[in-house]
Amino acid sequence: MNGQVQESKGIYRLNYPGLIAGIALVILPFLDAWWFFAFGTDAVVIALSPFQVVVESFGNEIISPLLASLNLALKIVFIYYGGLLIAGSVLRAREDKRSMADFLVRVSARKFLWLVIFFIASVAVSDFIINQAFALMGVHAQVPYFIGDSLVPIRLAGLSVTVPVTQGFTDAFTIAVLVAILSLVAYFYQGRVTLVRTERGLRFRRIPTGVPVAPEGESKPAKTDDQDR
Amino acid sequence: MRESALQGIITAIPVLIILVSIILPFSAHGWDIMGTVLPANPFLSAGPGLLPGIGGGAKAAQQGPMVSIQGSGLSEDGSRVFLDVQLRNPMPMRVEVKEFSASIPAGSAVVNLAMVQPVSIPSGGSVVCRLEGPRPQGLPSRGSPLPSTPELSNLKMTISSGGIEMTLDQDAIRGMLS
Repeated sequence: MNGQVQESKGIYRLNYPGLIAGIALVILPFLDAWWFFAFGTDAVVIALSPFQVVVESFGNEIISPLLASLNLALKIVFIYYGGLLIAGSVLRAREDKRSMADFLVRVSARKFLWLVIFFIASVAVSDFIINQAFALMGVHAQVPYFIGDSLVPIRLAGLSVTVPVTQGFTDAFTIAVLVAILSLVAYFYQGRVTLVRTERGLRFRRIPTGVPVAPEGESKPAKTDDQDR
Repeated sequence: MRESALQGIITAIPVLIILVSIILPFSAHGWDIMGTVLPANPFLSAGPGLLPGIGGGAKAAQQGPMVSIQGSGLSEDGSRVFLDVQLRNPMPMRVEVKEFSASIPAGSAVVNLAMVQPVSIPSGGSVVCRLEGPRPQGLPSRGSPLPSTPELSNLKMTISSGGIEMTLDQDAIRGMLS
């Protein structure tokens, strides 16, 4: 393989998926909510993401100081992780900083995936709790899990209430899932794949275990996958 | 050594940010757990007690009747029976009354009355709406053959607010009557 490689340094050694995922991580906290849940049309509207929790009742916003503070913290933390991912992806081009670059990518790349998984689990748990609450109240109604509309009939003494329930994921959530996947790709790319210029043009190459990434003539061999671990 | 210290700091920063974000709002709200997690909100506390059947209607009773009869009679041409009813909205949001029907005795017959058109009542406001029905045969079309505050039966009301529809039957509406 080395015979075909004409150049494998400089910008070719950047972690491109990491770079894109890092930039996306910096932007993502400023996008819309990931999931919405509505009782009626505007009786209670909840728009959720790890970076914002908007609860409105009849157009009046209900703010939890703790959640607002946690949302802000998560925004800062994931912008920070985005910065680390960008830094790690760029530093990968410098052999002398390779160990730090790998550390930065390792620390930042998978966190967002965990956040997305945790968010999905939280939505599932919320729907489960709502359904359990209905069952305890004796209401024969089921809120669909994650996505969908339903009508919840509630009967009290002399009063019957019909509550339309709407919930679903937004486009911002789709972007978040794509960014989480890209971050994971960046994590594996960092230690295992490099971009090389071959006789046929630019190609991705798997970094063989124990073989330096840098072409002959460079002073320091690249750290291998095994060494990183 | 320097690099491992730097790595330690990089790893610790998010943990510190999260910890500060939890401690800070509690500190700002005098370590009041409820005040920090979910502060008092009129829209959350308004519902229970405002309508009979929800929380016992205690608040509704304190605030006076939600439905009061203003009067009844015959239309100018004598062909229809009407009942004027004042509806009060004690809830902190606008409410639309989509349907309201009742029966009243008219002479020896019973007349079924229904609201002519839906009415919208602002929060804390009230409106007078008219229920109408055909004059039964045998009821004189002149004079005032109906009592000013007739006994209501077969009461039914459908109200809607924020996309949630509530249908109140006779027992619930009786609890709201003056």
